[in-house]
Amino acid sequence: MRNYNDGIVRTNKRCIGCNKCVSKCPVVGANVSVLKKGRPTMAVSSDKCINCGNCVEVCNKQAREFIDDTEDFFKAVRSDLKVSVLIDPSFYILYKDKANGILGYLKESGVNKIYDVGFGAEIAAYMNAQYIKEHEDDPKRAFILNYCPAVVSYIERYRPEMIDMMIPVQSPAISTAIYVKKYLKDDSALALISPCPSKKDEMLSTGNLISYNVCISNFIKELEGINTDAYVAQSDLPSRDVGVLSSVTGFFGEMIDIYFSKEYSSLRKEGIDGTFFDFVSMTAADETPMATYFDIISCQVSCLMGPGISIPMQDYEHVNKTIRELRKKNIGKLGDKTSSEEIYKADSEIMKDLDPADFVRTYQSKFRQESEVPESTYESIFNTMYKTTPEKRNVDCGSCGYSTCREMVGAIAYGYNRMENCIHYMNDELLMRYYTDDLTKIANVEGFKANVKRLYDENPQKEYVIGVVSLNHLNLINDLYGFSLGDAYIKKAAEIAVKFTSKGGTAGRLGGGEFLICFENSEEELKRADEATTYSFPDINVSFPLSFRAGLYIDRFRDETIEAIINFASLARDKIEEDGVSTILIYDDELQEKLAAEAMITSQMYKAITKKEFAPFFQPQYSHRTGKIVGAEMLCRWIKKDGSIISPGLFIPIFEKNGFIKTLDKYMWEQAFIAAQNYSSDKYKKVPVSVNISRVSLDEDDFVDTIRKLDERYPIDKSGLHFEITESAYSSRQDIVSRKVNELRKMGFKVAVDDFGSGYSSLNILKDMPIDILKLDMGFLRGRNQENGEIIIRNVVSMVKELDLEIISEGVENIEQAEFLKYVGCDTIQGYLYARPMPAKEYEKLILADASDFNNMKFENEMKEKGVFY
Amino acid sequence: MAGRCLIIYEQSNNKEEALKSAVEKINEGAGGRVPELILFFSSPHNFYYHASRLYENFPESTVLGSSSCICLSSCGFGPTGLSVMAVFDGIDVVAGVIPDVTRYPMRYAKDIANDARKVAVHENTICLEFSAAMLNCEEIVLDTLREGLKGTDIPVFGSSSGLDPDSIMTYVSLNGVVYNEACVYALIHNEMGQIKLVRENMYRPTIVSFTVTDVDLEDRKIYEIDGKNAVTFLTEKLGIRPKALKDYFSEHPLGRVMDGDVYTVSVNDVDIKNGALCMAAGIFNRTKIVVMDPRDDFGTVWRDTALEAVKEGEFFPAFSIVINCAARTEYMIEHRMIDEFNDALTDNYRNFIGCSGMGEQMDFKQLNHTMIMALFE
Repeated sequence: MRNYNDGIVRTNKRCIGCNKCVSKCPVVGANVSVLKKGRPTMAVSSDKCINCGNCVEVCNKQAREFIDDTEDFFKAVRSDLKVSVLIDPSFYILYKDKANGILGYLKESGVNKIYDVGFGAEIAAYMNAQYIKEHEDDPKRAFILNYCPAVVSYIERYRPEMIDMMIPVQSPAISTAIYVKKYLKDDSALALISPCPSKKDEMLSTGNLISYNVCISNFIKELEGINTDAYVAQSDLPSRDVGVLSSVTGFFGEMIDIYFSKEYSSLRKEGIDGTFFDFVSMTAADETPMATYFDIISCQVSCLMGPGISIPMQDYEHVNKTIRELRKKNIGKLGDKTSSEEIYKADSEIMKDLDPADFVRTYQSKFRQESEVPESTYESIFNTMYKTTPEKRNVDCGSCGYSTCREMVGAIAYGYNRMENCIHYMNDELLMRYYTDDLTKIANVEGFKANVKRLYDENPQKEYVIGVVSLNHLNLINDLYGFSLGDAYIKKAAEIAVKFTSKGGTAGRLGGGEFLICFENSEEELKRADEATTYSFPDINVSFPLSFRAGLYIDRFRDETIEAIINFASLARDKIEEDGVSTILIYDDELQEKLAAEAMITSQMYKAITKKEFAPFFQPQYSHRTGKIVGAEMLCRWIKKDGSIISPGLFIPIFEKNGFIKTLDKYMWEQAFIAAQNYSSDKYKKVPVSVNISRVSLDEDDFVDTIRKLDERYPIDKSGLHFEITESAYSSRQDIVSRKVNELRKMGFKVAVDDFGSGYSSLNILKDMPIDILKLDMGFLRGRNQENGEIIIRNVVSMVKELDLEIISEGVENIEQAEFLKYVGCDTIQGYLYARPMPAKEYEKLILADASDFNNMKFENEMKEKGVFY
Repeated sequence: MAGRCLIIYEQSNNKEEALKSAVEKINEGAGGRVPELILFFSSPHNFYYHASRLYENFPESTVLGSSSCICLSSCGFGPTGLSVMAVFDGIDVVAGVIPDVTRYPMRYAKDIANDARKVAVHENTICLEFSAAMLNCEEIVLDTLREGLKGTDIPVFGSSSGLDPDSIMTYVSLNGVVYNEACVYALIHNEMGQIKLVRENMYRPTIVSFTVTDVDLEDRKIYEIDGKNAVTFLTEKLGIRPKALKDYFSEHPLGRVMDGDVYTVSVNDVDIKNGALCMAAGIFNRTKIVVMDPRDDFGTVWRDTALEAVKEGEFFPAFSIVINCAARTEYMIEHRMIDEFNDALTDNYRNFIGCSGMGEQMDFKQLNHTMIMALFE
């Protein structure tokens, strides 16, 4: 952050960044927009500020203030430092009746001498006239009076070509100081009581003859509570005659006018107006300039309303009256000298002891040419501000403080202002943000929909394809390379999407790694989409080539809303597995049916629970050795009220995807507890029921608690209920799974690993996992190399026995499998060969204690017929 | 007698010896002709002597010079000595000075316009200029030249002057007068054919780009990038500690994206206290900046550029002026590439003279880390 607010004029905390100061400031760059803790404020750049105080006057939040030396002045006076005071004529006009009392108080406080600047104004006016007379024959020459320090500062900083026009004579205040120091030999420190903060600038530029600039407003504030009427004093150096009016509008010029005949002309101007200075500069170059000299001051209504004065407007009535009186009185002092020459001659006599060289002022160019803003920079900033048309570039509303949009853009280029200070930009930015994705700068969903609507409206005959595209592996890229490179990857993908749809289509970002595309439905375009494979970005150092999953919807009839189409495309995209290969799936009738079924299941699953449509079925397990039933696995069947059955193969994967499996699991566990409780009566044979725990439920933090609560609610003999966990659930997060399984076992339940052998099994499960039962899937006996499978099963059975685990073979479908299992010593068998899953009522008949013989006899006979039992 | 142009390189650091030999060679090569232009480069230490004495010896010639951190030429190169190019015929030269370059050079735009009017033909004419360096004046000098040359289509080609590690000030001179706060220029019309201007960049833009959002144009400082303190932003974006940024930027300069092109700009320093980057060129607010990487052909690019410039034998420069950024020169010396560089230019251009300074000017833009060449047919 650059340094600001370190000059005479400063911004305080009250600034709200309203830009009024900018609009009133005669120079560009003095007001700089800075963010303070995210809040925009207008700071003052002391390098650029001419201390005219316009901003102090215009700010109705009192957020601009100036610094002066009032505090130091009083400190110096009260510490017995020798200080003399110069009083600006405006003080006498403004505080006519109180002036002598205040002077008295100053004297009483220790001020050495009091001098009127009006006296110095008379010297300065004479010296100015003398200079003009001596240089009136200079070729192409016009003159500017040195009166207002802000004007001098403006010319030194911004109008170097006009420095030569400045009359090299000190101002009234400095002339007074020179007179006091050199001619009256006053060695006190000098203080100037003035209406002008900018006087400080003048003091610094002229060798610090005056030590303190005491602005009248602060000075009067310091006197509050003091009865100055109790004191009285006069000036030690009153002005001779007209000098007392020198702070009145144009009067300093008039003081010079009186030395010249009417063929000379002067021009007065209040306010620093660049155009007027252009005019002065121009006319100065003429053979006969419009005026011999120019009297320019910064303040609009003379020094009497300078920024260092704060008296109420109504009090100016008496001010005007005082001016009229003083004018009448002092003009009269010029006596009977009627011609300018006579007056000049008389004053030359009075001033004859003054050396003009003592009152010479030099000026120094502080101008620094600024780099010109290239047109390309204007163009770039205009475009960034959405000002892309001539109309938008010429709004010129002035709310930013600048007269024109171009001026504002120039200020932004120089670093003086911020785009955010343009209300039109902010409006457009809001709209743009509503329609644009922040990261990729392409359309967001709203923007995409608006663009598609425009495409549709402009091309009523065309058919379009709308797609939802997801990047593969984005999560992995974020994990491996960090979000920064992940974002770069997304930006690259956005570029591809835009490029892909550039031929009369449009693209947008849905969020994350998901994009929306719309392109014309043509063979060529669809072929292009189909051929899109992978893209590499070596420049962002991500080794993963970009691949995607895209769901497309061909909008042939325009009878769906864009939101619905995005939904269809999204559903199609969801059907694609993320495997690193770019894949496209078009939403068609078949997919629609499949999705409709999925939607039906999803929409009905909650009701199905309440309607108890999920029914527990039992698949019995038999002992080879005895031929008797030894247990059963409880399975879920969805039987709708109308009797139709939904296959678990259809609803389980959907529930696993949408998370409903957790609800179903809990429901089934409760059913299992109930069944175990029911079948524990003497009416039934004591055989355990096992129930499944899905991988999703196992991941739940409250899983063990849920079982514990069920156990409390349905107290059972723990041997009557087993839990089955699939082998795949063990393969990840083994430590957590182990801990949970152990919790169950501690409660007294046996835990079986389910489906061992259905996937790529690991013997580590046998080694590491705390299990009681192994359920061996017949996967080892399917497919190629059955002989190898048999060897494995034989050894697994042997190992399991050695590990003292129970073993159940499941999925046994034919006699050969059963024969083999019997041969290798597998005790318990479950499968279609023996019994299909059956409703509870049917199962109950099987395990009735008194009916078991009959049932078992019947069963044994059936098995014998099949050749299973001997 | 020499041909149209004579190139001399005097390696001796003895200023009298180097000058004497150079003057003798020019006189010998002149064969009675008066050189139209004498362009010379020398180290700041010997610059005043060489500038004044060359003009004393050739008062009827336009003698233009600049201090340089190295003298490059088709007759050899080195950090010391004096290199001179004397052009005897086939050119029309009008030269001038722009004083007060740090405050108000625009005051002299009219002088430039007057000089431009003195050049009979503006086609095949360039404005060769050298500005005293380290004054942050190049942009306003270029603005002034643009204003002065308005309507002429005369392009500007030049350099900020250079200095060696022992010097603290740089110099330029015209006709024996030495300046440390001025720009000297010569409007050179080639009567014998075209003048080709070439720019070579050893760096390529990366995808790391950002927008500057707070600048001090006059002090050439970048305070804020994408709304954040510049140093904080860059340390986060590049994953580099603040103290390491300066070294990073010496090998990865920045590029200003302007007018659809990327112009390289050096980071002179990193002001950690104020969180600012101190640049070697003024950067306007809202300028898009890219981090540059060395090109893959970093060590050999100049040979290709040289070949491309002469279109493998289709363009025959009679003499050439090469301006190689001091940062590049420093890098080349450090990586022992400077011999190959000078050889590549010599092989392709025969008569060339080159300087190495604190900035290059072309297309009315201030550049860094760049080589620019003016080839005179």
